[in-house]
Amino acid sequence: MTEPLAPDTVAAEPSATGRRIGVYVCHCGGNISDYVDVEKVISDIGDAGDVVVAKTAMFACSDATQQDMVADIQAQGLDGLVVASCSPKLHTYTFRAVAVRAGLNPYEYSQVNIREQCSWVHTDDREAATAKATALVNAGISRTRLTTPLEPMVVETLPHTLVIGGGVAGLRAAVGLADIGLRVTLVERELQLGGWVGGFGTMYPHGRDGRELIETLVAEVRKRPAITVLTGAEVVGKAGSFGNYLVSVRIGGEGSAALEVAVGSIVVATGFESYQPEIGELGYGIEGVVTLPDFKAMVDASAGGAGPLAWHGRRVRSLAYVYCVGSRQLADAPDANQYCSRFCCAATVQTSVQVAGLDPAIRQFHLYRDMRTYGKFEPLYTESRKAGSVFLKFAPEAPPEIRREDGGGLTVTVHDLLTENAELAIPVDLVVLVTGMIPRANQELVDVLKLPAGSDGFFNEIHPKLRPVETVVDGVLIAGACQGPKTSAESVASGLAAVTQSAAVLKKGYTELDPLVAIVDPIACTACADCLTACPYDAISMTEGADGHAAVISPTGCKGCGGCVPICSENAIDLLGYTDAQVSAMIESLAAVPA
Amino acid sequence: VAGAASGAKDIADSILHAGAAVAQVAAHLETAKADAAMLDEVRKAMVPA
Repeated sequence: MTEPLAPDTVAAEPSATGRRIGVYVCHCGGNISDYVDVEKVISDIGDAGDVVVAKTAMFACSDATQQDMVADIQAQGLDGLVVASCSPKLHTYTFRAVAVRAGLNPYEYSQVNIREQCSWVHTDDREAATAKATALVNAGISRTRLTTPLEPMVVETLPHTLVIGGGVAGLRAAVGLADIGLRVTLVERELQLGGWVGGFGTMYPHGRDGRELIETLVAEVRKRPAITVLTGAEVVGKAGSFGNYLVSVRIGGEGSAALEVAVGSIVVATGFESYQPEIGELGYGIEGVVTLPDFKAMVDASAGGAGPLAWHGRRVRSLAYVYCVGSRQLADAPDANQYCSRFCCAATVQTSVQVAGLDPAIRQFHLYRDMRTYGKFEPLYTESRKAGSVFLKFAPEAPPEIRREDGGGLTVTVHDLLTENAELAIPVDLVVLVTGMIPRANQELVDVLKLPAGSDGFFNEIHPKLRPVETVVDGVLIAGACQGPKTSAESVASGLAAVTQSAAVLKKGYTELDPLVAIVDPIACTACADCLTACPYDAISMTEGADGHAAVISPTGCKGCGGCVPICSENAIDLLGYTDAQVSAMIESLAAVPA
Repeated sequence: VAGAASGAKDIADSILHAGAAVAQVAAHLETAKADAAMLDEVRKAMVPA
């Protein structure tokens, strides 16, 4: 697909700058070339005699163009590569790999974004878009003139993972990690393992008790000597970097001594909390209005032989469930939980089937907004209706009203959308508020691990589809409902996905880190320590060398964010790959007035 | 089975499920590798030096 529209210009040896650079400008099949005159970009390149190859390509990322680049690099002896196409987020690794295949150091390559940052946003002015693309390409060439070969840092990784949280996701992850030959330390804040599922009775679809399920998992954990379990324990500190974290775990609460654990990766599986309604919210606080977890405990106790379903000694003969409490809140409410908690529709219809099994005479009313018994849970909904449950649909802006009558009973008033919005007043013995999941309050852990949380308060993955368990902190993975509402099966799947991600790094025994990190010139450094607070990753420290005190930046701790560079009043810090000299040269190219 | 082959799933859940399947395959291979190594040991022990 390569179209050498402009004749290849072969510069006389040696070039003025001593470099031999290849430039490729991409059409992106029209995404770029419909709005930017790519041929003009090639002809307007600010060539200092060192641009040895300049070509356009229909798709720079295509196999054919990649092979062409490799051939050019080798035949022309290129020592610098500039690709002007899309965002570096898409193809940085593609073109670094091209360089490597051609025997060129991958850090001698610069990506120039003329699609997202040019053609797509300047669809109305071809001439100006072309001038801007040319300036961007010239800036890329200026940066490339000053590149130096860099080598990735190879860091050995410890074959040991810390799992935080001993619920169903954490337990399954621990077993999975041990089974692929990694050592595991499992930290649980409570004195007992099991989390929420450990307190559940019968679960769908196998009819097994949550308690039983957890007992089985805990037995599997105990069978594996590679797993160390620490209960009543909390993570209070983290040092080191990816592959070699040193984590402090405090056992036995405030003031107790901390234990140090050296691990290669960390799986966070800290779970969720159940939404606690405000007093007055849908009648909460009124005698006989309970939450779903409270009610499930009552049903499990009754099923376990504690006698008929009763509330404060009185038989429950009728009840109403109010769905979406604390979930799917309307956006105008302050700090609204706008998400759906996923598990609660299924959990509630399953509970109603259990109740019907205890006593088919109990009348059950479900006041819902939308039924979301998705996937394999749908048969439960049918079963619940067959067992006699009545479903009434209310509008989000007209929630049911709950009050206690003078005579003693509860009355639930609702406008049912399914019967022409008729107002129904239902007398019941008990009201169950179907409460959703909320993120667990865990500020200390968030601070220690620097975990990113979304606007809903749950931890954030890098990408929900492509990298669903990885976080922006290398080697720190998230699993289960700490990431967002999940059913127990979904939590287990994400726990195992975190096992796979841990294995991908730790089983190799080493990892390669980008060498694009900040470095300090110890001669220029005056040890003012201003940079220490600028680093969000705690990668900078002070040491005493032969020439006195100076800052040192841990190359494995540094993420190359550049935050410390402008802080330094002595200009003693430089960022490899984006040095002051390179950035200045790029700015000059961008600011140059076209001839 | 992984993804929607085991029931209706959205993309995000399919990807997680695929990751879960990998972990279980890896565990199986780890066991197989250990078994093969053990068999090797046994064979070596049985062959007189």
